[in-house]
Amino acid sequence: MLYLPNGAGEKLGDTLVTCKPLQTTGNLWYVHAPDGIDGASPAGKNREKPLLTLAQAYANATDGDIIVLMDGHAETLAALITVAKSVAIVGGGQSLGFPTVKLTAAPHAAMFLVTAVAVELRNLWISPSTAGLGPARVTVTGADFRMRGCYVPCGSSDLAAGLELQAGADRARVADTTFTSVATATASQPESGMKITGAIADLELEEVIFDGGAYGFSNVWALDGTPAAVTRLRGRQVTLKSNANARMNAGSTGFLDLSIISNGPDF
Amino acid sequence: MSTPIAVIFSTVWYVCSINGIDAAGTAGTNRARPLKTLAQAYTNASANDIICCLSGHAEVLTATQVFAKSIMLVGQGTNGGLPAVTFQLNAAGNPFLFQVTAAGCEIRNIHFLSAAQASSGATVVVQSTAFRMLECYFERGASDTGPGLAITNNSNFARILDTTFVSTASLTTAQPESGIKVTGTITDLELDGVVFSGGAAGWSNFYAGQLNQSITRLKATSISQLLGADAIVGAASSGWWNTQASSGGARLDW
Repeated sequence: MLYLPNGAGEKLGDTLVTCKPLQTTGNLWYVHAPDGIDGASPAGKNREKPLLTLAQAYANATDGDIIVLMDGHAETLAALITVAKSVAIVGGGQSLGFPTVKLTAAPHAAMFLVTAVAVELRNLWISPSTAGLGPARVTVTGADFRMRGCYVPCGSSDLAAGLELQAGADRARVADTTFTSVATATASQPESGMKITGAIADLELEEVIFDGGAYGFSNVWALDGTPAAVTRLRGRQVTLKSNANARMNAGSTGFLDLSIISNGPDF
Repeated sequence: MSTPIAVIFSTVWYVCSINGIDAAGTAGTNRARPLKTLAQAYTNASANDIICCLSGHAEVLTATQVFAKSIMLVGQGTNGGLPAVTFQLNAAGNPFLFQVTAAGCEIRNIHFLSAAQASSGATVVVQSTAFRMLECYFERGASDTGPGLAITNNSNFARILDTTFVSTASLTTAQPESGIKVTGTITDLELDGVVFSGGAAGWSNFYAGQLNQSITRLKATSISQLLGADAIVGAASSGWWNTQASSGGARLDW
């Protein structure tokens, strides 16, 4: 049992890394660029000597661990990270309401393929792709996925969704997260914010914002649930801004509570 | 311009003890003509439907309400910061108030009053997977000699959010038993924004949160343990417990 009387040591950001004390049966792995130094375990357990890359932290981690990307960490991943361990990847820090930890995928590569159960992404800025990308930046096939407090801008190189839930991603929960189009022309719109491509159950969306920005999404649907039905969708306080449209498969059950809509979105 | 709307893919059944009238069939789907009782709404509902208790609904059950269909039970409105819909048990023989046996049930914004007569049955017992409880309030008094919420063996993937368990006992000789009790081996229990309060007289069990079973992937975030409300987690459990606030010498045993 690890007992951290001062928590994970972050002052702002997700509650998991700001509340104190924290008791956990897993380990905490700290990451900070550019001053971190990569090394195999046990490197990265000391907040004063963080690792340089998320990939190294993931390699060192085991099921149940927490990877703390420290306030201001900015990283372009070298390659797709397949998250096959049940870990929480949490960003520290916040500025003007946005995460201060920024992750960018490698050119032409997706960012995360989540295959393990109970993986969490918290308080991360998931930057637009820098080169044309076919698959979604974050694809989930594992159950009990959590995304909370993330910011997912979608740009002209994002030829797929920011987040895609495939078959197996039951009981996923996306909360306090924004998907926004940052395209600068209608000819270069991102595809969509979030897409559901496999039949799943018990999807929760809570305080999720879909924002079409100035030029919207090429798919038309910022939230595209048409490919597959969701059993027991629970969408609370979902915002559709600036022509961000949403659509669900007709076989879905549950509800979608659209708290704020503006500029004529379609559902 | 903003226009709040709700897109519902399921049937909603309305219930109000003040002006409702019970009837079978499609009665209760019109908000202006609600049903009177939860039991009737549950009978009329199908799996994955929503039962909405209108603000001010107050119901005393004399027998256990079983949820054998995947139902979402939601209370409407608040009163003084607490849910404006109340349920209470008044029965002998230690029954449960709610017994959840179907997967994917959800209970939201309900105020559970202390039992009207002594009962060692849990107020809400969960015996299935993917249970959700949000924004509920449990008053636990001298007559509550069982837990407020019991999560039984294999009731995996439960999630309890923004829910308060408070001891309202006035004497240490008449304490309620506990707030949450896990009674078997489970996985993926999530507590987020849960408040335990010992009130003036605390809990007879000693632990307001009695989780001393094997829990794989316990994720307890932003927990408040107020006025000496203690908690215990089984030694074989994995996961984390993240405290937001504590007072009165509250402790966590793990």
